[in-house]
Amino acid sequence: MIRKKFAAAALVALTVLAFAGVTASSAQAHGKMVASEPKAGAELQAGPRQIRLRFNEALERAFSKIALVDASEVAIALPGITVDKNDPKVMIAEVPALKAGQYRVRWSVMTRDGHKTGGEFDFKVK
Amino acid sequence: MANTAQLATHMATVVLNLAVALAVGAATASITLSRSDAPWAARQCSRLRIICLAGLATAMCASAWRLLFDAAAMAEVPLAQAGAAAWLMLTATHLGTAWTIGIGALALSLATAGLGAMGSMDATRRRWPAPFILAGLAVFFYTRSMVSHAASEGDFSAAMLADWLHLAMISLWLGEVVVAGAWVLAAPVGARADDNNATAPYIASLSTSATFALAAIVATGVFSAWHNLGSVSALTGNPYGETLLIKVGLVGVAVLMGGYNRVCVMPSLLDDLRRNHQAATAAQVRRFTVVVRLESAVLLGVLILAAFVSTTSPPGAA
Repeated sequence: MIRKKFAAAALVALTVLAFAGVTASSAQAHGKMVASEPKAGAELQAGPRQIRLRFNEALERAFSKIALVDASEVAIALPGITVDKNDPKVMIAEVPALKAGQYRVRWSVMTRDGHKTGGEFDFKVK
Repeated sequence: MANTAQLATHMATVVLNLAVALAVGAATASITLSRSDAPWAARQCSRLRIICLAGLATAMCASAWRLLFDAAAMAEVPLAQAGAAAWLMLTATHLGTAWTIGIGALALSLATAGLGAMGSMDATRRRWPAPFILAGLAVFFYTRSMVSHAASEGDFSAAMLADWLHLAMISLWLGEVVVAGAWVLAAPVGARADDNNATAPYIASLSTSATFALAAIVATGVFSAWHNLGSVSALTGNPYGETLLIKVGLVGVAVLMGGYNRVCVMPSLLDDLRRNHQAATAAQVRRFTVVVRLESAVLLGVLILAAFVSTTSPPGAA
């Protein structure tokens, strides 16, 4: 009798697992950049005044940063990097006037759930 | 260097989880044993209080150790320069807020267990305030969830509740079996009939709470896996999903062991204990304890994998 109950409980647990696996429809991504201005691979007529990165989670400003380098890997100082007060998922960097050329944005952020993530993308000023 | 820091973070997480699980297991076991007047139960309660104190103190050290490594990793500085980063993390981040509440809850639990230990060793020795310690640990578990993958939607959500319950229940299961296998059942049951009368409800309670914990672990584990992965295909081809699969496999092995004890060993063991059948009882307790120890070893493997899962991004992360 007890063995039958144990087997039934195991069967129910496996069924729940299988059902949950089949019907799962959405996943929660973590620490992912979902949009940027300028866009990755963009070719701009003039240098951008801002780099604006949007993430899927709120950011911790104290441990989040944006860096900009030119084609020779020379760093370009970014005077102001902030997290948008109205939207903590957005990080903004003020950009000085840029000459024509290829540039790379490197970012690393700490999200509110305590995870670190980073990435990079290029854009070109004609 | 990065790999060394990551390994140290995993180690700190394993030590933290194990220490907290021991505190949970010791406090829970003492609730059942403190209801008995048997000398054997009284001795176990005294030992459990020491295990609980040691677990809580170790957890506080491991938590501080993890904060330093987390601060160094987030600030991208060597560990030697992590002091300033740790202070910044404490004062300017959500992780710092959660850590402060968590370490405060551990400190209060430790103080409660310590004050109980300083009471009379006769009348109150078995009545140390285990429920208050468990309440403090419940707060600590919530702060762990606040800095987990579940917190991406805020501090109050279904994902947070599931993560909190999952962590608390796996700590209960692991803590109970480790405490039983390594200490309580390793201590020879006395020749007195009331010793056996204390052992029987303890074993029955251990099995019942482990079964309850397992049901909660399965339900919350399925929910969290769905929340973090989204599909069966996401279980393969990435470290997070594959580690999760191994973890589930090990939990399955532990379930079989616990099921064997509950179905095949426990009925006759409880019967012998209640009839005070000394020779049969000793053999049955040994058999039960061997399986509990094997189950503990498998669950320690689960604990190590859980530490890896908690510091690994699910697929879809940048």
